[in-house]
Amino acid sequence: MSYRLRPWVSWGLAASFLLAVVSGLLASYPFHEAFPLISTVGIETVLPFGSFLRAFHFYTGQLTFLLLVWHLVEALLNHAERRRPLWRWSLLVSTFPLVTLALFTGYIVRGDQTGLAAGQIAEHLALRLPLIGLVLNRLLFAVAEEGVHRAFMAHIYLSVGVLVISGLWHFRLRAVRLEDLAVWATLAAAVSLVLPVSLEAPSFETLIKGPWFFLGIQELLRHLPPWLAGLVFPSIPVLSLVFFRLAPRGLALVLVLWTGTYVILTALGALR
Amino acid sequence: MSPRNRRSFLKLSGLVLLGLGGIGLFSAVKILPRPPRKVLVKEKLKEGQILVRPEFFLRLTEEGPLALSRRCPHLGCPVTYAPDKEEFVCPCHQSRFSLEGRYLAGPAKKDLARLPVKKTEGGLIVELPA
Repeated sequence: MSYRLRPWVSWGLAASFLLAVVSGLLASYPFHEAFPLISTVGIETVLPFGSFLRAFHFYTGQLTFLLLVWHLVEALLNHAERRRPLWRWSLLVSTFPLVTLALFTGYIVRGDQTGLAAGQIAEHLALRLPLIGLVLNRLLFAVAEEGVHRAFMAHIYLSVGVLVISGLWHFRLRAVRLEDLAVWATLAAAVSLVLPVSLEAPSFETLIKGPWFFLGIQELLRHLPPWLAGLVFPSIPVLSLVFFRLAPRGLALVLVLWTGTYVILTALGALR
Repeated sequence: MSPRNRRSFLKLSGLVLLGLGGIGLFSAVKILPRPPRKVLVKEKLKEGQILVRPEFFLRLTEEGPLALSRRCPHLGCPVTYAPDKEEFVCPCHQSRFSLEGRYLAGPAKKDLARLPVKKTEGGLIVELPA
């Protein structure tokens, strides 16, 4: 079966990513990592159109993630892994966990109730990784000792790094058209005006829900040991993508089953 | 020294340095003690009252003051107090603990950590692990 990648998805992804990074850099200027929640509220209340800017950054980030998933599925249907050497395909696939991590650290940086809990969970999961856990935690989280500082740095470095490197090497960043930017900016702006992004101050809530794409893992952590639910389970799709060429049919089935399971877990977590 | 010997010597030196670095890192993280943090609580607690601080709960019991860490033993989320059930609950994965910090239900499987408390003239001093 021949299948072609839809250019509007690919360029939409590049445009959304660029808009998310630029709006994030603007929003980060008044942000102070020593007082994350206060300065996030400050962005909304002090900065002109701050509330809109934060929502715009949030929704362009969400669009980037969703379009990246779409682009990845299209690439698999198009057998893109056959046309690249393993190292190059692995680097391309690594953008998926890296963008997810950039999105996840964005939640931690807000410093609200969800962000604090997400940071603590991420730190504990990272520390359970053998050999590299300690270094990885120091690089990305270390929230117990340094608050949101590491997560803030990781959020900026990952976002800008993945955009610049993939923009130089996978697509031409300079070729992003003004029309694409305008269309995706209008879409994100329209959603930002209708749906403000929530921020919950720490309280005595007995149920905190993590970011929507993390709900499945959060649900699984209630039933399985952390190393299995938080480390082994999320690494299944990443490894399946990297080694896709070895057994395309079998690994495609693994990916479909994993996605189905994750959707059910997410629904269970959301309904709590 | 012949090039071959020099290469072996450099390889060995590299391995020794790597080993020393590893031992140094391990010592810094696991062996060398870090001083605990101390928090002074000036509030006068009444019996039955639960003081909630970002890092711990503090209450008076018949045996004396009891300080419990708010870090859930499961994945470290800050545990909250549910007054309607008179329990401590982890909001992330719903592990539940009694007011004495004993594990009741959920994925945590362990009690909340008890923190050392000292009485001083200025109030109570709670020691937080480093």
